[in-house]
Amino acid sequence: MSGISAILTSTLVLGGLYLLMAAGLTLIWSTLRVFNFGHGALLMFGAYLSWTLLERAGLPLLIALVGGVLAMALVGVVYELLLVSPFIRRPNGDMLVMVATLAATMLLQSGALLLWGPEIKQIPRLGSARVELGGAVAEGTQLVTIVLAPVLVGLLALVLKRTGIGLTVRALEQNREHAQLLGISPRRVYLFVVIVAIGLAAVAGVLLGSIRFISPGMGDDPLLRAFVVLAFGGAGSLGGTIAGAYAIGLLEAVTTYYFGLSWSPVLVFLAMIVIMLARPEGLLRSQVRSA
Amino acid sequence: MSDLLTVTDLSAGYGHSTVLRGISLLVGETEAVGLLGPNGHGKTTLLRCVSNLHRAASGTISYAGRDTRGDSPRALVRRGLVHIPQGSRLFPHLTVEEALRLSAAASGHAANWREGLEHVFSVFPRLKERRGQLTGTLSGGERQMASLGMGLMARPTLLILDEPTLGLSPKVKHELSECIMRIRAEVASIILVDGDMDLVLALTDRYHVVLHGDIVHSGASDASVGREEMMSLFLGGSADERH
Repeated sequence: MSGISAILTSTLVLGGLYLLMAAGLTLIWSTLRVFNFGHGALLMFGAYLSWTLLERAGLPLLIALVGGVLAMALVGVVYELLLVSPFIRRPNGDMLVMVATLAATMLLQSGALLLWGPEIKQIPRLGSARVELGGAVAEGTQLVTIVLAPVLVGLLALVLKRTGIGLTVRALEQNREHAQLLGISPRRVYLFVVIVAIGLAAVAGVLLGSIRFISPGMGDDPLLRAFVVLAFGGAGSLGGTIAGAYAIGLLEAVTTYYFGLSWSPVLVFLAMIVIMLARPEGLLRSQVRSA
Repeated sequence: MSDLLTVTDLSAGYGHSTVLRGISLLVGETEAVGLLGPNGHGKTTLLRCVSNLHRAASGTISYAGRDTRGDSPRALVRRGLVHIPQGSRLFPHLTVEEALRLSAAASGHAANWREGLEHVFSVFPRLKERRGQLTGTLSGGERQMASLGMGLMARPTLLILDEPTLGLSPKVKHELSECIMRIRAEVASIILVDGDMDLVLALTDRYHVVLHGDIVHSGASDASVGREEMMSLFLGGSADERH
């Protein structure tokens, strides 16, 4: 019994973290047709920025963390300006942008090492709430993650479904050329999408920096898992991403529980390879949405 | 009559293949102009250049007295140049009403989009019945109606129609033609490209035949246009060789 509830807690925490990452990646993928390799590094940078506002600037916890996330949204503006818009309209622009985001990863990681040094940092536990369920305990940041991740991504889904900008985003992802002929500026949509995606990654960074530690390479693992989520849920659908994130969380929780921490990533990627061979359009998609 | 659109000596292509070879075109302020000619000879490329979806290699385009070089498609839509593309799949996961609202918002008419919607529904009653349906599930004719309706939502001054009746059955084509006639009466200027020669001649004031990226023949769209003459043009002859 306690095994099952431990797995459940772990699933919800991991799934929530992957969801925050994968939702942004999906959003970028469906509008820009680009996989953002910089997403893991952006998660890491968000964690460091929040930590700095908290520990160095001495701001109160909540203000520091929200400030860190907002600062990352500003980084999103720069990111779009430097890495996306100069390249995206050129021939093979999507490839150029992908390479540019790969370069951004190295710059951000080396930058973090220079700015904050090699010693590992941590954001303190968020809140002292504690819930016990069938022998397993979820507390503090874990509890915040379990609640906050689906709430934020649910909010995003609502914005996409109900607001004017959401309608614009969906139109651009469904038919870029016709959207432009209607007067939609892809540039504005890209900016919106990149800011939201990086903001969500920064939230994941703060949570992960509190559950585990902050280090320049802390975003690598979540990025790889989010990649698996995209393969699992079918890149481009938010519904599939939500299901995929928790499915991968579950898979990782189960394999960690039964086979140990070191076998879990192997099994997760094995599952991905099998899925990609059997259903290249994503396990959870009924049809391929044409480009 | 002053010119709303002036295309001068335009050349354009894709990669190493040249599609337009120094083509020129005038559209007056209250004029409907038809473009005829076989597929693959540059009609669509010309229209894509006019709405700045495709960048011309050389030549100039001016709309309402201003050079459009460097304008985004968005800027042109907001100045009333509205292009309804050929065979668009539309937005498969948006409903008809969402797509219409989107067009109003994107072209700067968000404030009075409901009036625009009522108007579009009066031109295309079928769209009113389908308003909650995803555009991806519409029939070919309904999809064209939605596409035209989206164009109207943007309140065009110059409406560019690229093959509005492509692939439709004669019955549906007839229904749509009547709708386009109605639109003709309320939009200042139109450029119409269509495979149906009779439709183009009935709806326009003048026509041009586009062959190999240039205009090879022009005339007034009245009853005197000979079909056989036109077919021989289509089948490879040039205007000078005919007699």
